[in-house]
Amino acid sequence: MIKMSHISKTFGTLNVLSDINLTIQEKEIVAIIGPSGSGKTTLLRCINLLEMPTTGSVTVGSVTFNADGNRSNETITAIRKQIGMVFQNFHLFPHLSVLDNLTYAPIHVLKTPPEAAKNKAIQLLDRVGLKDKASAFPAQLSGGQKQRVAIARALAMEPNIMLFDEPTSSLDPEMVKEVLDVMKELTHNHMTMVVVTHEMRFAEAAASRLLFMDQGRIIEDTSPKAFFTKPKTKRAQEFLSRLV
Amino acid sequence: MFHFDLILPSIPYIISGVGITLQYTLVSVCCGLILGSILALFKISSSRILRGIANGYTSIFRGTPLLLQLGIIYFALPNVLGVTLPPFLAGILTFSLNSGAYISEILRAGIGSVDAGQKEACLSLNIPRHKAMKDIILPQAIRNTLPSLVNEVIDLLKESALISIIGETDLLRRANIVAAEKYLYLEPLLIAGACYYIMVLGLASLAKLLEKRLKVT
Ligand SMILES: Nc1ncnc2c1ncn2[C@@H]1O[C@H](COP(=O)(O)OP(=O)(O)O)[C@@H](O)[C@H]1O
Ligand SMILES: [Mg+2]
Repeated sequence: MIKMSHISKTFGTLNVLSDINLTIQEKEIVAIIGPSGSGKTTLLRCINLLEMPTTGSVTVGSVTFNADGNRSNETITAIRKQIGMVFQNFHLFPHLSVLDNLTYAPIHVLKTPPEAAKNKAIQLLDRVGLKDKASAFPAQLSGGQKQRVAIARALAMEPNIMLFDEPTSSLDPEMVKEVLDVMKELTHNHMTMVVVTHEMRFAEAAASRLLFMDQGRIIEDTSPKAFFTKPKTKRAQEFLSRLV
Repeated sequence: MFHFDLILPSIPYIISGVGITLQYTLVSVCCGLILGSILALFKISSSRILRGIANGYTSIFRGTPLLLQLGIIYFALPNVLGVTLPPFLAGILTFSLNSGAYISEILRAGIGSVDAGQKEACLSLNIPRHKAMKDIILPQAIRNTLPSLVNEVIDLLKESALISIIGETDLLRRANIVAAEKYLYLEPLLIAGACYYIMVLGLASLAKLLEKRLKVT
């Protein structure tokens, strides 16, 4: 489903990712954790090519992007088409109503008829518990509500894969649960998910696989249970000990 | 000291110049907004040629007096091209070309002020570049720059008085006509001045209102 081979990424002289090799199967729920600056966000953004890898290739479904080969716009679009992304800071369109946030891309990109897009959007809003907010504007929502709308907006494009970059990190503590609940519900829905998170309990309870990153490398790739009971590397042990 | 009574019958004549002045301002601002948007897009495009055209254009129109631009378009251009523009068209054309240059600078800065996350959200949703610009980025850029845009409208409204020079009977010109007829200068000018001032105040408070409303949504 997702295959990254020999991915590296440099910003100027800074090596942010070094020789990442990663295969994620369909319906896996992968949590990525690691210290700040270890390259988690960059790794995630290399999957949907918001960041172009410096070397290596990314395959999503049947489409392959190659850093020094096939990097055409069609390839990039075909990869992004399969992927929804949720950002730490939501990035909702502030000048559009919640409903229009959800229907804009389906109507203008997928060419869904407006009426059908609207019905689908209402259904999705219902699913994230925000049906009554359809006509509200993003500024009128709490952080937790905004993030749930952002999730619904990504789902409206019917992706097979969802990427989450610290979806609860800019939320007040009391709003974290409502977002995690929506994400948990998604895990029961045949979705492949890759989640960068600091919510260890969520990673333990919802993920089927856990990656620990440090200095641009994946240094542990294991089950959440194994990781939290007995991390193999010293860096992971230190990381976990600093959390409590 | 004041002799408003002497020009009383002419006051409606002066005030009706408000319509012409507003017409000039509004049509020019609309054309300027369109031109300015196009130029702003040129300025942020990846093409060096388009950027050069837009920057050169802006530099020339901001670097010379508006009165001179009006003179060239109304008096000199007919000599070169063999077409005479009616004053109204010449005025609108000059003000549109001129405000397009200023507005393009305002919008370019506005586009830069839109959070980079907006573009990334568009990319992740596969929204094509031109649609993202038109429907997502530009509306926010215009909103962010609303105060500067209103200032531009106010400037244009005041500078529209220049068209009286090419014979258009706008607010200022009407005041001057009455003044010449009655040999009374201060009173007609005061009336025209009051009209300008009220329009500017109106625009400024409209802008405040808009800003407040946009903040809510
Ligand atoms: N666009 C960029 N330009 C330059 N450096 C960047 C850029 N994006 C990220 N970095 C750097 O790359 C490193 C990894 O960043 P990131 O992937 O965001 O880490 P994490 O998400 O794990 O905190 C950091 O040192 C960061 O400063
Ligand atoms: Mg990050």
